[in-house]
Amino acid sequence: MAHEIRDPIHTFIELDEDERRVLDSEPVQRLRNIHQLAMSYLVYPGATHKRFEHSLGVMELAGRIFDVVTDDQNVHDAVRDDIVPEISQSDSKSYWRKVVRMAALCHDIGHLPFSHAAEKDLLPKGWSHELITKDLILSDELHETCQSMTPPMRAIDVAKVAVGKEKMPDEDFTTWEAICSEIITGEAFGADRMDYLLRDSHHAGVAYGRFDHYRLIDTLRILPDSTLEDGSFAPALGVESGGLHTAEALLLARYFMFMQVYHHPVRIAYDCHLGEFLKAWLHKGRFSTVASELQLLTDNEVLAEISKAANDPVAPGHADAVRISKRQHFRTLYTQTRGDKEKFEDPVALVAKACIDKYGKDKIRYQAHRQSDPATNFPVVRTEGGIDSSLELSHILTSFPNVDVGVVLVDPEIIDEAANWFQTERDKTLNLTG
Amino acid sequence: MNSKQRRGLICRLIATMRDRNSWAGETQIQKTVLFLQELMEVPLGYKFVIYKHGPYSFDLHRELGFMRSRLYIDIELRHPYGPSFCMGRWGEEYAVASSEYDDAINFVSEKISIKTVRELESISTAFFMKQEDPGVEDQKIINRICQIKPHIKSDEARKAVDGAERIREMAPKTLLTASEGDL
Repeated sequence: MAHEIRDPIHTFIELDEDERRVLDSEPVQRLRNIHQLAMSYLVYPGATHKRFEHSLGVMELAGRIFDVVTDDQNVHDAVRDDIVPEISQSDSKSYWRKVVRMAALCHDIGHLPFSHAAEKDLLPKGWSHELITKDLILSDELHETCQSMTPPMRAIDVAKVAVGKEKMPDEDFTTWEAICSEIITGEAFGADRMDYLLRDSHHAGVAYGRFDHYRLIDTLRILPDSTLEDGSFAPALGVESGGLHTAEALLLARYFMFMQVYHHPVRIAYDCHLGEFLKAWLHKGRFSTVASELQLLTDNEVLAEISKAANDPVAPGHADAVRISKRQHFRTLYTQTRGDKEKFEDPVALVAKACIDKYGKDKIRYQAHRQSDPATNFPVVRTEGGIDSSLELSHILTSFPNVDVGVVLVDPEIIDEAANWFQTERDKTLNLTG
Repeated sequence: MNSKQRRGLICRLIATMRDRNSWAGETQIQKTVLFLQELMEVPLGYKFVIYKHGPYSFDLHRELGFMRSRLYIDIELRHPYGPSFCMGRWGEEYAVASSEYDDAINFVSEKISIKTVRELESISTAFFMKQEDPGVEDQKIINRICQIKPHIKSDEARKAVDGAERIREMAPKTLLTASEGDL
């Protein structure tokens, strides 16, 4: 029996009985209490959506992508050998479709409270939410659920597709498994990225994240990677030429969302305060990596502790709890400019150092983020049938900007003084220390 | 090796690859760096895994993206294939300071970087599997290659295993000895 769930982005999301059982499991239900965008709701009040609905959205999109790219009419001859064994028989194709949707539904279950904001520095070295996701998928609860399905689903297949090769380096991935994982986690066209852009944009109330995902999905193909030289037939996700503009729109949407929403200076300030509160509050300043222990912690428990600590001057993390609860977050003193980036390798570090020398490290926070690869290079089928790199066909992608943002924040008590100081000392600070 | 030295060495490698007429696309760079690190023992510290086109380092992929964003390297569009990497605005400055491993760079640029992507995929996969488990029988490597890469047939996998072994034998031992002291 199919179930339907209403969704503001995809209207209705259908689930079968097996998916419903996984949806109702504790690890997935926990995502109802993990904010998708950490404390961004303190900047964009509508951004209170949770990982739960995002996971449903990724499942919906991953299923649609799977259906399009495995449609026999859409399979490029050059990659048939790699994927036909898996999709030529309806049983096998149906099995992998289910694995991809299940992996999409589970891909975020290892998230710490407040998602990414809490991850950096709060897990032991070498750990990430993806590794915890993998452990949870392979845990007894989900493993047994997978085994009881007809036909039985291998939990290891779900884990591999959900977290990808980088986070499971010791597992052999077939090319087919790598493609299935790319359907969810792909840098250019992953269902995860598509859903978070559409959903975050909708809830934050900004238009930057929108793009024609119907058209994009319709034109997605598994293609021989034209970006490789002479005769490599290893497949990658690409588009038909008719989808190139909407692919450009997706990448631009991501760029704008990173610049305007994900790296908003106030969000960064709250990330700093939240991270410092957690370090003070958590046992030994770290989250447990035991999946079953982590499952007991959500944003609700953390928010309750922040509220208590804000009213108790001797509680661990009191100062940061006050900053979060009473909106006394650090204020922006310096935002990295393009001109500064051209002159200095790391202008944020230079300004932060000067500020720390002047006011002390307790009064200053800083962060820089540089996107390493905007994923602009992918194969495109030309109308007449040949395959090119997207970079050969798109002027926009050839000169695509990297997300490169940085900010220096100061204690609100000294913002006026610091701003005056920095206004007169700005050039001197950068030049002297540079 | 710190990140500045590592990036300088990558700049130098790309320049040398292009001098040897390598296409210098990301796949060539990935495989050439694999041999530079694992065979020539240049301590770059990248973690490689077997991925769609054979051994692949996500760290190196990110590093190339970072270096491009900071104009150490750039991409160049050349027909008929995908983009090649070339020196960026600030690349020369980094490259000149990194001559310590020139012999190793020259060796891998000559022997590895000029191969086709198809050859590189199979030969680097065979090399990497042997590197991971030196005692493994050749036939097991061939079987594993064919299992995870259905487009590579067994005769091609066999040639790759032999080819990887020849490159091992060709690697100048003096270079290996010299670089051991730097580890």
